Amino acid sequence: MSVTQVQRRTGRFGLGKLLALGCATLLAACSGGENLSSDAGSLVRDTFANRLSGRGNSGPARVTPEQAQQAAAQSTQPLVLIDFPRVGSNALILKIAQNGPVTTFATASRQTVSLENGLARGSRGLGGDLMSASFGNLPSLIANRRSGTIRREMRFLDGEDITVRFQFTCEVQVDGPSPVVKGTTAMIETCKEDGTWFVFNNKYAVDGRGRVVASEQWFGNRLGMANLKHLRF
Amino acid sequence: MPNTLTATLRGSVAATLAGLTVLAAPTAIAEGIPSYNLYGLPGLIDMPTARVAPDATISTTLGGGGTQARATLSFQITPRLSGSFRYSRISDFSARGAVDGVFYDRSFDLRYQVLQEGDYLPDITIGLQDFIGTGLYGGEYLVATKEVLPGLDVTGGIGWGRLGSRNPFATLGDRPEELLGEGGLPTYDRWFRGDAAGFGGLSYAVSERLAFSAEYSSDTYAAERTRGEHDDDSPWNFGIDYRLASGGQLSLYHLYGNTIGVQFSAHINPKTSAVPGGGESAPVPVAPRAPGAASDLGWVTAGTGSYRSSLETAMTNDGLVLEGMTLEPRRAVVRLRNPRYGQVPQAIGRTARAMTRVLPASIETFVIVPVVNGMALSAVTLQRSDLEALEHRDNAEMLARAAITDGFGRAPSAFDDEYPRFGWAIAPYAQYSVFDPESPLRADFGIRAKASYRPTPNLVLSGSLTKRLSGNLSDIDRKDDDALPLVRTEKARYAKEGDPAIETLTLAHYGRVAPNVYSRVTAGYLEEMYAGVSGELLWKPVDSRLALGAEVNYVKPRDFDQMLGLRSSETRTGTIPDVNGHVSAYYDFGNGFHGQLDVGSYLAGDLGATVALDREFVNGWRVGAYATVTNTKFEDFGEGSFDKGIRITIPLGAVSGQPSTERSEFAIQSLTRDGGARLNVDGRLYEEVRSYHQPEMAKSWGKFWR
Repeated sequence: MSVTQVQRRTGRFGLGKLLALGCATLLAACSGGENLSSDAGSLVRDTFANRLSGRGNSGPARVTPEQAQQAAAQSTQPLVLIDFPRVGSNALILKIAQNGPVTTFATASRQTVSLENGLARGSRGLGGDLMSASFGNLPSLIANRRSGTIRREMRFLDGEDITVRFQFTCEVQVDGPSPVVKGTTAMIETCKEDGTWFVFNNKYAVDGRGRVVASEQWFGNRLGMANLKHLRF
Repeated sequence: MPNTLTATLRGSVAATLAGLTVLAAPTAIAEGIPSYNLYGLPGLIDMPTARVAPDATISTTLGGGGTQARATLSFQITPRLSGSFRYSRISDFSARGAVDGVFYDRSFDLRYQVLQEGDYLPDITIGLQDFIGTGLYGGEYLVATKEVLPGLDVTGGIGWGRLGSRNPFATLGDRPEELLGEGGLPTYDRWFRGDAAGFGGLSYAVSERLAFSAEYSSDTYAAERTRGEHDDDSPWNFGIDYRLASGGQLSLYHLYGNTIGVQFSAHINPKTSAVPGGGESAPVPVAPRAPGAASDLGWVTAGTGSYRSSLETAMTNDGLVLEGMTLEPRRAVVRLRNPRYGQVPQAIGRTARAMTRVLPASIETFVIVPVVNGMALSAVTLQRSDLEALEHRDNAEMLARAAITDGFGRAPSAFDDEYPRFGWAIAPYAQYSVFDPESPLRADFGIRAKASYRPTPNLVLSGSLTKRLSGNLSDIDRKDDDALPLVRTEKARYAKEGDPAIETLTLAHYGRVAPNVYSRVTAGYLEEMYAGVSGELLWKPVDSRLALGAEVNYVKPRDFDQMLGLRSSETRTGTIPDVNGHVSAYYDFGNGFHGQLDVGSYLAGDLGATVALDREFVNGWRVGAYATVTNTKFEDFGEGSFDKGIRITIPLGAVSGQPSTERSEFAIQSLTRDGGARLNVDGRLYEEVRSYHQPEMAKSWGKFWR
C-alpha cells in the first residue's frame, strides 16, 4: 500500500529564525534521561538544512495513476486521492475514523483530512489547516442533487494562533452531466465572502446514490484548491 | 482498536521535518512596509516621513555613511505608536566617553501618527528623536506625507533641535544644552524648543521593487562639524531603494554632497509564524462510543493496569507524559506533564482525544490536571460526549463547555515508577555583553553541562557547570566610582576567575500551599554571583487577570572562582546586605498588553520599584520595556541615571513551525550597574503558572483541536 504524504509548506526564512539561530546553537548537543537540552538547535537546524540542501525542491514522488489504481484494488478501507496543485503535492489518504457523518482520512505521516459525504470539514498537519467548516444543509442539497443557497463558515488559525472565521453565502447549482466522471451529475457551489469580493467555486461530481465521487474544493488561502477523487468507498 | 490507529499514524517530528518543502507559493512583497531611512525610521534618506509600519512590525536597520554608523531596532507598538532604539558609532569625534576618537551612543525615539492619509489629507506623524539620553541626535519633528500620484510620495516637515539647524524660520523659546541628571532621563525641557526649520523630499516607486528619493535636509551636523570631521557641502541627499522579496530593503545614498551611504533593513511581524496553525502532525481523531456502550460497567472489576499502558502509549506518541491517573466508573482524572506544546490547550486537547480512544465507555467525565514541578496548575474538566459531538465544530463551542478550575488537591499522585527522574545535557553556550564603549560587543563561548535529579515530583536538585573555550568577557576593564556596594560590577572578575565555573547548584521545592497559592523555596548556589536561600509565594486564581507575589532572599556573595566558597559581604564601597526581596503585581490588561510592578529592596540595599510593560502575542512573542528607579541618586547610579531596557521574547514554536515550550529572550539594557539590581534565580513562579491559567488558555484555545 503506497500511502504517501502531503507536502507541507513552510514560510519564508525570516528574521525571527535568524534571531533564534543566534540564541540557539548550531553545534551538536547531547543529553540523556529527562530532556534538559534545547530543541532549538535541532528544530532550526533541520529546517535550515532542508532549505540549504534544497531537498524540498524536487518534492516527494507524486502518486502515479497506476499506483493509485493498485492501491484501490488492494485496499479494504475507503480511499481518496487528494491533490493540492498549489502546493504541488498529492497523496493517498485512507479512512481511519468515523464520527457521526464525518469520516477522517490520513496519510502515512500523520496528516488528516475530514470529509462529510466528501465535503471538506477540516484538515490537520498540512500547514495552514482548515480547522473546521460548517455549511448548513449543503450535504443534503448535494446528496439530492438539488439547487439552493447556503451559508458557509470556514475557520483557520492565523500566524498568531488566533481563530479567524470567514463567512460566505453560497449558491449551489446542478450543472448537468459531469465531464469529470462519466455517469455522474456535476454540481457547482459558488461562494462569495461576506463584505468582500472574494469568490471561490467548489465543484462536485455526484453519483446516482448521492455520493461525491470527485470534487474540487477550496481549503483556505494557504492550501488553495484541492482535487479529491474517491477511489474506493 | 486504539493501537492499530497509532500504528497507522506513527510518525515522528523528525520525519515530518524531513518533508519540509520550499515549494511555497512566491511570497508577496511584505505589504505596507514603508521605506526606512538611515535612522532606522520610516523615512527618505536622513529625514523622516509620516509613514508607519503595519501594527507589530519589528524592524532592524543597519546603515551609515562617512563617520556615522547606526544600528536601529524599531517596534510598531500600536497601529499609531512606534518606538526605536538606536546604537550609533561616530568616528573622528571628540566627546566625553569617546575612545580613540570613536564615540558610541545609544538613543531612543518615539513616533505617533496623528492623522492617517485619506483622499485629500496626508499622513501626519509627530516624532521625538533621542528623547532619553545624551541628546546628541536630539530633535523633534512634525511631518506630513501624501501620495500625490501613484508611486509618488511628497513629504514635508518642521524640525527642532538637530532637525532645526539649517535656515531656521522661527524660534520657540530657548533650548537648554545641559543634560538632566546623568543622561538617560527624558529631555522634556528641550522638546519643540529653540530654532525650527523645514525639511522635505520626494520618493518615487518605479516598480514594486525599486524607488528613487531626494530630500532637502534640515540637519547641518553641527556637532559633528565642530567636534569632528564632517563636511556639510550640500543640503541635498539622494537615494535608491531596492526592496527584497522578503520585504527587506537595500539602499544606496549620496549624502551631504560628498559621501556615499548604504543601508539595509529587515522586518518581521510577530503576528506571523513559519506555518500558520503549526506544521506539526495531526492529532488522533476522537473515537466516539457505540450507542449504549456507556452503560457497560463490566471493566470496573477487571483491573485498570492495561488502561494506563495504552493511554501512556497514545500520549507518548504526542510527546506528552501520563504521570498519574485515577479511574472511577463515570470519571477519569489524569495527571499530565507537557514537555512539548507551548500552547497548553493543544496538550489538553491531544490528551482528551487519546482518552476517548482508550478509556472504558462508561467514563463520561475527563479531568485533566497539568502538573509542573509537582504543582497541579489547573484542572480542565471535559465531558466525553461534548468531545464526540464537537470534534469538527468551532473550537469556541468546546471552550464554552470546558471547565477550567483550580488544580489545588485535584492531581492524582504520580505513579510510583515515575520518580525519581534524572536528566543531563551537555551543550555549547554563548554569553555576551554589549555597549561597553571599549568594545561594544563582547562574548564568551564554551561548553555547559547540566543535570537534574528529581527524587519526588516537587523536589528538584539541579546544577550547571561551564568551561570557557574562548572569549573576551573577562577583558572588561571598567572601574566605577560607585557609591553602592559592588553587587554586580565585578562581573569581569567573575568571568576571569570562574573557569571552569559552577553556575548553579540548587535544591528547589515547589508546592501548592493553599487554593490559588503557589510556593517555591530554592537553596544553594543560586546564580553566578550569589548563594543562599530564595523563597517565593504567588497568589493567582485560575481565572484571574491579576496575580500577586512576594519573594525574599537571603544571600552571600560567592567566591570569584565560582566554586563552592563564599566571600565576605564587604566590598570596596560598602557591605552587601544579606536580605533582599520584592512584592510583585502582575496584570493582563486583555488588549495584548501585560504589566508587572515589583516593589522592594534590591541587591545593594537600595529601595525602589521596577515597572515593566510588554505587548504579548498569542503565539508567544513578546516585546516590552522596563525601568527600575530606586532611592539611589542618579549621580551615584552613573551613566544612564537608572536601569532600563527593552526585551524581546521569541517563541521557538512560532519560528520553527513545530510545537515547543521554548522561548529565547533578548534584552537590551543599560550598562550593568549596582543600583536596581536583582537576584537571578531560576524557576520564578508566575511564568511557570500563567500559561495553564485563564486568560492565557482562552486566548490560544484554537489549538485545542489542532
